[in-house]
Amino acid sequence: MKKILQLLLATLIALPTTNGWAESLDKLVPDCAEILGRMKREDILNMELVNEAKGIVILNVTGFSIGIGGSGGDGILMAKTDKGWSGPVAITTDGGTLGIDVGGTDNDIVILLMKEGVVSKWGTDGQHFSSASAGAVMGPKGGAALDASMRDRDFNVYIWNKGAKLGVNFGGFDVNINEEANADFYGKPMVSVKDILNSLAEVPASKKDGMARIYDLLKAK
Amino acid sequence: MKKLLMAMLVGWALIPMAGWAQNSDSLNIAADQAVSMNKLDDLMGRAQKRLSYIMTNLGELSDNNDANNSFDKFEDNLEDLQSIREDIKDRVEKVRDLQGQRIAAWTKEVSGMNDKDMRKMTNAEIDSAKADFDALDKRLREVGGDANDLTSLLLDLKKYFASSFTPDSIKTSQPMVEKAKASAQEMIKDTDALRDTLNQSKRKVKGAAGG
Repeated sequence: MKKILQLLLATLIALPTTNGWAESLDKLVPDCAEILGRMKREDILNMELVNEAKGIVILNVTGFSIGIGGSGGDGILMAKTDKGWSGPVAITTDGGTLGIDVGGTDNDIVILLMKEGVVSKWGTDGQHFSSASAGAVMGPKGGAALDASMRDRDFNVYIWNKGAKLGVNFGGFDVNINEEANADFYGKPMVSVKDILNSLAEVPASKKDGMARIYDLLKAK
Repeated sequence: MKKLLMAMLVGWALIPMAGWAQNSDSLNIAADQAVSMNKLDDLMGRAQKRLSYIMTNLGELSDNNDANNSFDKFEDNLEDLQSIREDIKDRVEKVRDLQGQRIAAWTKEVSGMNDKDMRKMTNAEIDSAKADFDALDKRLREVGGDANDLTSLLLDLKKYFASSFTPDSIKTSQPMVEKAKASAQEMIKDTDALRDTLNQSKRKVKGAAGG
């Protein structure tokens, strides 16, 4: 029995890192649209705040047993530009806690980035968000009146876990850029995050249909 | 006096028990219906994702970007979509069936009510629940009809490419591909609107179940 447990533990530890599971943007975009759609439908997201955000992160984060693997997430980052919302940047998150209180959970997360500098930080490979520096607060619910503090903070976080509203438990994680997924999606091996977030690298025509739902959902009703 | 008090006490104890027993049927069915609506919503989300993949496959196929691979993916995603559609049809039937059961149970409960005002009020609630569901069902049928047309179009495309798959035949098919992509885009939008309606309806059903 002890050997089986040791074997199980070794298998869990040997599992690939988050980057090993990273999804293609062709799959991430519809997945993220679904997350966004649900949060909007359930009146969780405050669309007025979405309107004022400088960027948005949409993630699905899976937590493993605490003490073994932390948590890993896959998602997209987008920035608001003069032309509207940029194309998606594929990102992964590693370790730390993103709304996860117990192991084995599956959380959908939307983070509204309220400052341009914060968007750039998320778009820099290998950024570490410590619990202390994250400064994240649960965003106001849909329809709630906004105040200056909500607009001025770095992040407004929304977490969905099978209908349960979790407290903000946010920090100690790394954000990595999924360069392979970005290169595949944009058809450019060296596409830069900066170009995507500034809408200099445009979404290819064949991918525009897939993006339409996210752009639609990001419009306030 | 003592006897009268005893009779009142017994009567008092029985009334809520009877009400509780009668109410529980429609409340239990409402809870089941809300769960079923949740499952329907999930299925619609899965169908939207498949449609989104299909649009990307068609876009890549048109670009002649690894066309064979894009066609294989298109076929796989179309097969998945058809299977999800069957699940949606079954789930819609289940939701309709539960609605019928809920209204029947609720109506039976009203007939057992002695208070005229209470009966009137509950009948108004039943009428409102019926009207709400009828509106949802109408949209379910409309979107379902459009989904049938879109599936036929996608199946025709599959047949066309299965019989002729060359750069020229891909080029010739462009108007049909564009039509399919536009219909898929419309379907995704309509499904989002339908899911909004479903969600509002679910909240009311859940509210009726005390959830």
